Amino acid sequence: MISTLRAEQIKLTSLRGSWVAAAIFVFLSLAFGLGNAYLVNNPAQDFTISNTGATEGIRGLGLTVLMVLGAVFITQEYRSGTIRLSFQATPERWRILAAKGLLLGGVGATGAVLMAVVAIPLAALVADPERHGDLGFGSAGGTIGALAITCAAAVLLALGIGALVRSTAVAVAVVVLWPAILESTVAHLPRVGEHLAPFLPLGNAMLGITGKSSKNVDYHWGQLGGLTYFLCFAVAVFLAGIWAIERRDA
Amino acid sequence: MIQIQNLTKDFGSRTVVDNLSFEVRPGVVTGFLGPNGAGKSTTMRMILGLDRPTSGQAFIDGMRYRDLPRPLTMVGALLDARWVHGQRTARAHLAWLAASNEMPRRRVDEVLDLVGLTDVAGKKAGSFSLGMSQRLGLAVALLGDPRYLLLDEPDNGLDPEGIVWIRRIMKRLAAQGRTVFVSSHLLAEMALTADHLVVIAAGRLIADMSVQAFIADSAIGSIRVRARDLGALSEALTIAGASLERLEDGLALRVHGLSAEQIGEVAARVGAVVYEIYEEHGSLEEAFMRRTEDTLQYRSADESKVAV
Repeated sequence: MISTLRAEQIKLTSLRGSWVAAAIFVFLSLAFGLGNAYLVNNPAQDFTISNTGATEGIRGLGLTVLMVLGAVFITQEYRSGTIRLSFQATPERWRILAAKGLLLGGVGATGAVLMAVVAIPLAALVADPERHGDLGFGSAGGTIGALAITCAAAVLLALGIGALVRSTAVAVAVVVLWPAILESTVAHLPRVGEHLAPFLPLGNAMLGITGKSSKNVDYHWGQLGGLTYFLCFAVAVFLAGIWAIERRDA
Repeated sequence: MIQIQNLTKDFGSRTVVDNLSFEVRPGVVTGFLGPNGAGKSTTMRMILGLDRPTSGQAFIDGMRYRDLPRPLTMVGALLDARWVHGQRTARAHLAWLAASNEMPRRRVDEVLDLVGLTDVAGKKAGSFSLGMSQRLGLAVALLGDPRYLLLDEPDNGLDPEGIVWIRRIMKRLAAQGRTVFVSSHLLAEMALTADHLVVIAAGRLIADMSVQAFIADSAIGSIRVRARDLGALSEALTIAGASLERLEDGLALRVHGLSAEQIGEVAARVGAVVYEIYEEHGSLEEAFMRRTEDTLQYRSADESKVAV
């Protein structure tokens, strides 16, 4: 498993696209928190900034960037044909996807923690002290932990989707449109929408990080429930991806 | 030894490989010959565990590919030279493969040197010509210093120099006692490279024999004889059991049914002055066409185009 992991690490770091994605992730993760911190200083309004506000970029577009990276990491192997070389090198195919998940999931979790550790003091620095809500490391443990788990799980979800559909274009479209369009469309469906909304995976992920229900969705569980729900969903899709690559002809 | 046992692959209702059984022995280059679409690539993919056989099995050293520990150190394969990420350098491409099977990093530079890509090792593989990609593909196959080599049309895209080069490499690897299994639809190339032939058409085994035997067995060899007094010689050869054919210029005979040695002895007995005894070999192409005719009759007209 170590050798497969090492191979995946070389694959990941030998492509410039990975580094570009990492840079975009860093930028987006910090930019939103900074923007929020700047906006609360507006004297005309009575806003405060909390840890969840400071880390909004991580769970928003930062998460999407990680998912795109995950989707591309597996589908580009199908596009270029290197997946067959991967299978020749590692005929127990599940190891390949597992190594990708471990590596990129680790990157996602570490990235989320690092960005949170930077974004929170940065927001504290930019926002006026009297505008600080629940801001600071003293109370950030839960938020940071939830962010780390969610980012890792989101990467697994993206890898699973990529392994299932194999096409880069389709996989990237799914992971980009999912949070932005898919879930809100489902939630707004007449009659069934409000019943389905509490079961939408990314909505649950956001509940798991912020502890708050967005868009007035009536969830059947709390913060920990949301986090667990998203993690289980992501792992299920990831396992479906492993099942698919083990079963299919390459 | 590679053992193929009753290997069959259906894609939907189409049977691409049909109950194929043969063995590939070490120490020689075994050519895997057949027209385009005969099932050569599918057979190789099944040997490597990439495609799942509908029935039957393929063994390498008595083991399924999937059960080989560090398989790249046992079996090297070049199925498609374009299986490279265009944005990755040649060195990085080899580096991840080396890491995946716990090979030392220096092995990457060794094979780059071996295939003559050292100078472009840091260039992106997407910028490579087909010939360079083919060399990189061969570097991948040789990376693990494997005892088994599976090459699918390795001369594809190579210039004449490259073709001679790859032919030499294959012969050298076989001479080292390795098992070299190489597919081609180019019969002339196989005649120069291979010692043994496995011939398939429409997924079925047509022949499994040495190159010489394949030609001798499949084509009718004849001998051309030029002599001063053809009349007397013809008579004597007919009595000896040959069937004759007078060639257009009237100065030579085509003899069937006797060997060159037998013709020489008959000529000496009747005191004929012989200018030339020339063995006309049936070509590999002829042999192949003759062998596959029957099989190809089962296929629809548009499928039966044979690329030779």
